[in-house]
Amino acid sequence: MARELSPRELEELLGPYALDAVDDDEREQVEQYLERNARARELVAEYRETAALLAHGGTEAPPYLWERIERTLGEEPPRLTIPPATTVVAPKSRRSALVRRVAVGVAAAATVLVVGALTVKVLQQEDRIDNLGREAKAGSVLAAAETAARDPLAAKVRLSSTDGSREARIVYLPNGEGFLLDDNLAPLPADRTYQLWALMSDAQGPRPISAGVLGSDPGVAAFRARGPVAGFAITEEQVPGVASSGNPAVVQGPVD
Amino acid sequence: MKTGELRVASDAQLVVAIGRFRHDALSEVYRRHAAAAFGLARRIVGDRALAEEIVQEVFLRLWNAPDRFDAGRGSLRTYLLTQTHGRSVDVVRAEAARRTREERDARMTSEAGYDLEREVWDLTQAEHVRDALEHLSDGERTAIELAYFGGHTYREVAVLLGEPEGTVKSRIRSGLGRLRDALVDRGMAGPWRES
Repeated sequence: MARELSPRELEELLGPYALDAVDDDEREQVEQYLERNARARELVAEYRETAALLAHGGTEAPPYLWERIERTLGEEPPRLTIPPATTVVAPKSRRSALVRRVAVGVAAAATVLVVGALTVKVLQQEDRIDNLGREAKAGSVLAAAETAARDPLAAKVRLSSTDGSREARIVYLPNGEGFLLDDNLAPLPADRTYQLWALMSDAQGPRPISAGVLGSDPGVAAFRARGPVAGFAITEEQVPGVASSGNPAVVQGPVD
Repeated sequence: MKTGELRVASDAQLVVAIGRFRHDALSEVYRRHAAAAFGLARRIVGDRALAEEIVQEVFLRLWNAPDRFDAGRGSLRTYLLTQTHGRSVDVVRAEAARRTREERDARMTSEAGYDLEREVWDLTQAEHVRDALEHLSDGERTAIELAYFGGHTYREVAVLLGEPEGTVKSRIRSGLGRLRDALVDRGMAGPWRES
């Protein structure tokens, strides 16, 4: 067992840590220190950014290397790492029963959402997009959302609660891409999450399809919902989200 | 986003597109940053084939888990180079690479002109970087060079230089800080704050 390092010793290791120049036992302690010290994280990020400026050696990356990389990407989306699926897909019998209960009037203010069958792959893809959505809090999706909001073809969707006290805004593009722009939803405990649903309206009748898990305190979020989307709704769920929900919509609204 | 627009898209927008399985977005990221990643990996591991494997791994990691890139904690370039550096160091420290490393170290020792300036001379803002490097003492430059490009731990650097470990730790930290300040003064790095 390695000796426990003092805060001062840990501070001294931040520079070497940023250059991957510490031993394994020290790395573990530094990473624990970083988890509880925002200023130290900031410092390490600055060191790494500085080191990155030194890294360019003027070497051309081999063109064939990109071809090699691209071949491994394949046609199908990659397997995703976030654990979702098997624990969140409702049993078929229950799902079928719930689907029969679906009566989501898109323009009307339906209060209960029930979701049709979703495959594991779909959920995994949603999680991937969801994570990007969470990242938007740090600004990376913001620019894309702002661009979408300026698109003249984009639908602007206003979601609201039945009493009008809760609201959210969505911009939805014809290609199926969409962004939750802002909301006044109350932050949830860590074990709860908001979940976005696209309200589909086609030959199968009105049905909500999960468009992504938004986290406990949604910011700008990206999602994708292809098909005849007639509206959107947001529910509150247990982490990590559900494939079918019997919870009332916190907010919802039609795509005009 | 259309393919033609990717050329002018921000790194953050490219990452979002990668999240939507856009090969062309990853291709654009490769076009922008692969040379730096490959140069760094090759420098550290001293082997072209190994460097190619590392770069491939880093880009596939971005493809498979784009959400791990947090734009609030630095640029995509820094993220990719940090990944590249970490993986390269893993490789160079592995037993299988030990022999290559020893040979490469011997080569380094015999090169009188081996220094950081040579590594960055062809950077677009090479002049600014060179100026910034002049703010470092010889001890700071050597310690950073051996740790970052040599893939050595600070303890190994201390042995190589015959200096106390504490001195090397301090030099790495103070050198990075001074380098950072000098680059900020030259507009090459902005003040960074965690969101």
